[in-house]
Amino acid sequence: MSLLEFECVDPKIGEQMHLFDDESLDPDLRDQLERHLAVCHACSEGVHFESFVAGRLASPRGAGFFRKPTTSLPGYLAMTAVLAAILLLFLLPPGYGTGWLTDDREGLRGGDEREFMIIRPLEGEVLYRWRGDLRWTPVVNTSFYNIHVEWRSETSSEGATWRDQVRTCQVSLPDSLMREGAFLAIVKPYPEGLVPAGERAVGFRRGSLLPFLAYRIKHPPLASLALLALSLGVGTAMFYRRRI
Amino acid sequence: MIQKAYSDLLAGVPDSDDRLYRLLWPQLLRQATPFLAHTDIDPVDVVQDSLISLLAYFRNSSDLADCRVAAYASVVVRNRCRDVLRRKRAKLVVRFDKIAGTLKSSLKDPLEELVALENSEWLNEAILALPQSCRTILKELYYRGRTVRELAETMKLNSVQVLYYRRNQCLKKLKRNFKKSGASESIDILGAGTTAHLFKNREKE
Repeated sequence: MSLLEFECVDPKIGEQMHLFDDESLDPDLRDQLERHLAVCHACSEGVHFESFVAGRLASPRGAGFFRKPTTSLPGYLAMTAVLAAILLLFLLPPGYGTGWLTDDREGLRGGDEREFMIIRPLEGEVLYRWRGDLRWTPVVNTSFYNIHVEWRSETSSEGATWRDQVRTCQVSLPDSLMREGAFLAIVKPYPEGLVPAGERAVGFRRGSLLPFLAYRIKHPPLASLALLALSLGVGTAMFYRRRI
Repeated sequence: MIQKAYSDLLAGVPDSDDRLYRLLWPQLLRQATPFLAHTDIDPVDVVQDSLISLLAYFRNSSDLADCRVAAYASVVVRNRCRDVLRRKRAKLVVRFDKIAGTLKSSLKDPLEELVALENSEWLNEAILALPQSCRTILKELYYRGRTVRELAETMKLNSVQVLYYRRNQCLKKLKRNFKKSGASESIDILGAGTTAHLFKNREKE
């Protein structure tokens, strides 16, 4: 019992307080109960509480007290936005624009000259279950592209090299290279001299789930980040509004 | 001596109430002082108010011949101290300046509006935490407005007293839940400690 909890001054009478509303109650007992209420804070509190409950439940909105409070539309939207932001975090390309989270602000796509660059993978990217797709921007008047890929195992001294020539702006690496480890991909358009620096190179890794998740959290796509911030903002505002 | 003065009071002996007042005073003051030690409330006022209401009660209670007056008076004084402390605490917890901007403007007192809003949320939580049987009883009696007799018949109970008892138990549980939700001071704001308006309502009926 809390220090501020009232005590019934006469529990023998207090125990009969539930009969207070009974119309057929003996008048003497009713009189006794009424007099008891005048001095007993504990029973008086109970009677007041009952009248408060009765008043609230008898109101037109009384049925609402028996229903679980439903989450409002902004609440649902905020929850959906959080889920979407988490999903986008892993589905969208990593946020090369969110340089404030990374040390490597430039050269993520093999160079800072935007007219020719490797679109995916990005420099330093960690890929999970990568299917070997390499993509770059097209260069006008190019006859073909020379592709050079080096793979090196991170656990042993094993390594491999693969070369190809393609006319399109993407290539799929052979299955023999689909292993965990570090990659270096170089794309060189032919004839030479069509682009200033001549070739573009990116280094990336194919790894397990954990390094992939760590990389994605460190390099969140901007859209995902914005959505997450917005939904958290709405959620926080709703939480404080509800508390007030 | 206290019991003797009390018997005299019941027998209508002149000045017996004054004697009882003086006999109870030091004992009750000893009870109230530590309760209110860290507040600016004067225990003398609390004891005085308690004794006035107690003596009025004793005068009209000839059926309390075997009452242990000292123990009875002690409980009354302790309760009054609690009441005063709760009210004081309730006043302190409402940071009105912080929430004034968020309250809807209306002709109502904003404090009342705030308390009503909070109480509704707490009551909702407290009701949902009740067992289904209690929720049914409260819903039928207060929301649907059915009488105790009607509900007792529907529930196939032998006597209405059983239903009165069950309703009381449910209300006790509800009050516990309500206080757990954070409404410990709200019951005071609702007006516990005074019963005058209840009797007025009863007279109207």
